[in-house]
Amino acid sequence: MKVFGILLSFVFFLGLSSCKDEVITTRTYHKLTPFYLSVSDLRKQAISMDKPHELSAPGKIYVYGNYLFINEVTKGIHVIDNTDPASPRFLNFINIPGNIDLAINSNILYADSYVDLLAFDISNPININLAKRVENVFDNQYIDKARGLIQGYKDTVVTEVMSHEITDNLKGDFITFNDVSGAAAFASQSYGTGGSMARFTLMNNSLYTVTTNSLKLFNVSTPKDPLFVNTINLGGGIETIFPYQNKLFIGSTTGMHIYNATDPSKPVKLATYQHLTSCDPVIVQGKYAYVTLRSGNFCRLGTNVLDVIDIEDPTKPVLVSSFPMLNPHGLTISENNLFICEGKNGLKAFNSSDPKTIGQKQLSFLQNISASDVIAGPKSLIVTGPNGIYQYDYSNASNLKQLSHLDLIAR
Amino acid sequence: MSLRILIIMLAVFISEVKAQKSSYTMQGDVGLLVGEQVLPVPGVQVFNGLKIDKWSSEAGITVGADIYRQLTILPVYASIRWLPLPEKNLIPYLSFSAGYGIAWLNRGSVEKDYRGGTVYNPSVGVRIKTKTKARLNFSAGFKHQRAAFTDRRFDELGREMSVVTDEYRFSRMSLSFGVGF
Repeated sequence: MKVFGILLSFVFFLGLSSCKDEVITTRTYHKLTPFYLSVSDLRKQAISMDKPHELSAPGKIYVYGNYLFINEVTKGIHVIDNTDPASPRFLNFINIPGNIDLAINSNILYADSYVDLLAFDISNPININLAKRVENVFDNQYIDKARGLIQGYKDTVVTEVMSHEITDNLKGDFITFNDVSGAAAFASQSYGTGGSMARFTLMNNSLYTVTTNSLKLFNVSTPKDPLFVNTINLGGGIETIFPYQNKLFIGSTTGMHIYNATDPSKPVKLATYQHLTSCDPVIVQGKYAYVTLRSGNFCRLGTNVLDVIDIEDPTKPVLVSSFPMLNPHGLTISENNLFICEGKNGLKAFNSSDPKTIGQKQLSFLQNISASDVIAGPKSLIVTGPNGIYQYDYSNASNLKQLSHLDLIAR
Repeated sequence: MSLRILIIMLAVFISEVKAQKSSYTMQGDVGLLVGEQVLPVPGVQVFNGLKIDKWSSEAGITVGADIYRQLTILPVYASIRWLPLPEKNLIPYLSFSAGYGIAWLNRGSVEKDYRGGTVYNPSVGVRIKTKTKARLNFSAGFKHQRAAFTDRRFDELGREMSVVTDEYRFSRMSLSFGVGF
């Protein structure tokens, strides 16, 4: 018994001296690490054609004839032969540092490169050449214009490990943190088709580009020789631009601006349709505009709806109907079918013959994909998302048939 | 919580029934897991084993449930007891158990994942004979248990943005009272 008394004492001693709970927390997250670049150094780098690259972080997408042009965020543009949508073929890759947006007009590809606008001759997609560089037009990207410095961001995976003792002061709650941080043809020219998230668009011999707070206007009546015309201040939170019948529909986080661009060089504001602070691409067909509003990390208050707005009188846009959505992103309309990307929830198709009841006429809902933007191309419905580029036969919107999937390499 | 309690009670009941009908021995315990700067948490366990008279020992399997604030763990371990003075009314014993703690009772999802881990529990105790077949047990020991919780965050397009893994290492004093047959 004496031995057990000693053992019991030992156990109590051991217990009192080492009874501390511990937690080892390992956090792995993506962080945008800023770095500085000299614009003059960037311009010295040859804008080059490269062998085909695999998709890694696709951004904006543009359809032109039998070709797809897909932005690789801040890296350049993939050129894809899409003659057969069931078997798209990577042709080459255009290295364009800082590229985010693109548009194509009469075999001339316009692309941004940080502060510059570049024009490429793509009449031979195998041998694409830089035709012109318009310097310093996107000067809002300068962080120090006098020294010619811009700021770039590198996506870095960070892993942090830390350990600490658990106490009831900490309540043992799981540690959480917010994510760190940290992509028509008009007149005599032949334009391609961009998505509803596009920030570059073409209309009436003009290239319109939007930054977060302004409209930059270029005269492209001579496609190879884009000429910067002027900058129009739009206010903050500008996200997307959509052209329709001499008007520009500009999506911002607080509303949809309507500009009359009958005189291409002098767009005149007609009205602003205001809504809750939210992310909102816009498209237009006939006398209705379709706006999706969504919540999310960068969309602040946010709500998740499809708004149908009567724009017959563009000076007085009127909300006609509103339908709840899951997390709507990009959208497109083709004849009587409206397609809406629902983010990680998938892609929905609606019958749009009666815009006032469109939300009640769902035709199909693909739930096995993650969709951020969609283009109703001449040959296929092109859906972009974090898992790559999908193409569907949409001749029957009630039964979308997948034609192909361009997968991504791991980030 | 009610599901947890139901499953625990069921495990205790089944074990009780099994122990009554054979030479097997069993012991059911309830207790507390006490640590520094944390509130005690409850734990229950049931030992089912075989007497090894030759070595004054018992060996078997222990299953239980330890309800920590962060998660509930179901330890399943091999146990051995040494009772050097079986003929006495007050029988001291040494016990050692080691195995794996299962995290099945915690609600996981695509975003949240629970994993169990190794567990060991040395202890000393006394067994008190009663006028019936039952005997009472008191024990004190040290319990070390590992488990992990993973929280994945995705952006609105379903891209994984962050992964946070908490690896818990619970080190507690175990105090328990039980009845055996």
